[in-house]
Amino acid sequence: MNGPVLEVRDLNVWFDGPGGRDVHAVRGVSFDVRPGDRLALVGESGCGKTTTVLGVLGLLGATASVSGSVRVDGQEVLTGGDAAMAPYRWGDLSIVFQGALNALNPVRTVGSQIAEVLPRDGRVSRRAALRRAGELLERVGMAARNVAFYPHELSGGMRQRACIAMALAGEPRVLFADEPTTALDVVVQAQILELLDRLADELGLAIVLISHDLGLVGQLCDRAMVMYAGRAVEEGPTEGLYTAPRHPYTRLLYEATPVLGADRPLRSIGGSPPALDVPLAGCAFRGRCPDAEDRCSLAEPALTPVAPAHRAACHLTGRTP
Amino acid sequence: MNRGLDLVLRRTAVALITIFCAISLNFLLFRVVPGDAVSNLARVPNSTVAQQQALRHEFGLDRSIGVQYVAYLRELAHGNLGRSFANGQPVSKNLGEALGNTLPMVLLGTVVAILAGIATGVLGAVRRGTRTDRALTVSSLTVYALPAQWVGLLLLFLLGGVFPSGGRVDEFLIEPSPWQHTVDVLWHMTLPSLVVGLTLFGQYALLTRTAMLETLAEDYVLTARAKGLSTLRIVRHHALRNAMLPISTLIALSLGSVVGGVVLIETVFSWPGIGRAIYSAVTSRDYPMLQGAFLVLTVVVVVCNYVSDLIYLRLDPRITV
Repeated sequence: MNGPVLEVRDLNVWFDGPGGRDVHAVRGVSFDVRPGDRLALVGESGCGKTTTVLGVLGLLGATASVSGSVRVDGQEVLTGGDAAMAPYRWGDLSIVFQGALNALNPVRTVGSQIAEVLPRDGRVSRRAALRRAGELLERVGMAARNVAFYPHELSGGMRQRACIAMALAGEPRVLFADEPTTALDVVVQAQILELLDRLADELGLAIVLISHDLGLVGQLCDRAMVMYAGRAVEEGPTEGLYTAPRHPYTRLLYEATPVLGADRPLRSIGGSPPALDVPLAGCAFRGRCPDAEDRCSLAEPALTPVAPAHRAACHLTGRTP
Repeated sequence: MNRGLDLVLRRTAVALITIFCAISLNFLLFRVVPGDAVSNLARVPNSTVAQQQALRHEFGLDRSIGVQYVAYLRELAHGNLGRSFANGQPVSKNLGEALGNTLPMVLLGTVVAILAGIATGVLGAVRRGTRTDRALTVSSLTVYALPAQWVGLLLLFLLGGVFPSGGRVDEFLIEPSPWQHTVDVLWHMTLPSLVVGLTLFGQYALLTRTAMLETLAEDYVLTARAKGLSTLRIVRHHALRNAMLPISTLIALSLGSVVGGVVLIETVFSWPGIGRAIYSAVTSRDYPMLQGAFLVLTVVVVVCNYVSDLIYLRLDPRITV
């Protein structure tokens, strides 16, 4: 195996909050993406999954400050600002956003939006670029003539396919997929997942999937990082996370996921994630944790190995099966 | 294409109906104002009732309103707007001349305002929250708030010695060559055009800034940034095109109202355009002129709306009705 394409170390993101109280949205997240990896970032809404990815890609606005280290092929891109990141955008790291309707510009044709990111070696004519865009659309299971369509003329599933085709246009090595199946019906969801799966195999693409849906994660990814309140609380092989979750949050998240035909009650996690504009003392999850003890309010647990390639951040992790 | 043709036909029909309604209202308006043309004729003082009746008969004012209306429409269809009381010339000739003087002056100012306003608004939006943005917003607001005639007087006061202070041509230029004439007209046009431009500039800049801020926050702009496109390309191809929708509407609407609203500016600068024609028609009770001028203004406004609809159609592929 070659070295990682993407190395993220100790990523922190703060947002300017009202009244000067900064919101610490991502707290010390680290992960690697190697060629062909299938990594998932899992967690409920507002736990920092999307912010992490946007922070890595340098797409957060001026109200955010990001620290830590992001390396592409060993090259630091975080400290150099936009100029350092620019050469890797789309060509190496591309992204499919959730809600395909707004991710495409409504007043431009699908083809022109794909064509504008095609690698331009020498002079590529407009017609050749559109033909290439058509080939990309065929690759994701659409008709090539869809290049002339406007986004509103396509269905939700088609738009998401077009977004994937667009994400492939720069021949990336890592594809981030931010909730790519939200707002799609189950059948289309399955088709999109299948498509991502097939493309990753065919193109040797690494996929970083952002999702709150553990079922989806299990189908597509072999490694997952569970995030809570801006931190990674558990990471490991998806199999291991399902069968032997070491963090209570992972366990509860799994129990909150409906599984067809499963003979177990569906449970919800009471309460909501803590506010991140005040410093947290102790474990961020203790307020909602059924197993919380006194020591959980004293110190924040560190991510520690619990099994091969499996780490969790919980004081009670030795006790949890 | 088919969709486009269908829409153009619909819009054209609506525009024609609107003009017809305006013509009818215009006709009625001058019939319901107290006192008819004859009783207001200060030109025939001490006239007897019989003389007045004879005059009424001559002008057809003793016939029923329906007959008058049909006659009015018939004459209008032949391009006959009547004769001016003031100088005995056909109204259409007077108005044609006035409009021919007003349009270049207003258009010059508008084009300058469009270019400067859009550039200012875009710059403010891209540099949102910076000192540049605040300075631009404050100056746009200030200019927007100033009354046109006051700006006109101020400019006359400040630059009256540099630029000609009134009129359209230098009366003492004997037999100028076409080139000399054009330069002369442009020279005279500078100040009134500047006032038109200044009064429009503020609102164009403010609206552009707002519209740009809105589109820059859209998901497809985030996609465009993730694609690694340059700021210039994002602004031109992804943000401005969408922001132009409300801007083009405002421009078309304001152009219509500016042609009607130049009364004050043309009076300040003695510009022999439609505004001054209206002003003198009111002061000399020149009904045919006034009626004709109202008609022309209505048509200008309707035409501007019509053009704005067509531009909208061109800019936004989603429009279907």
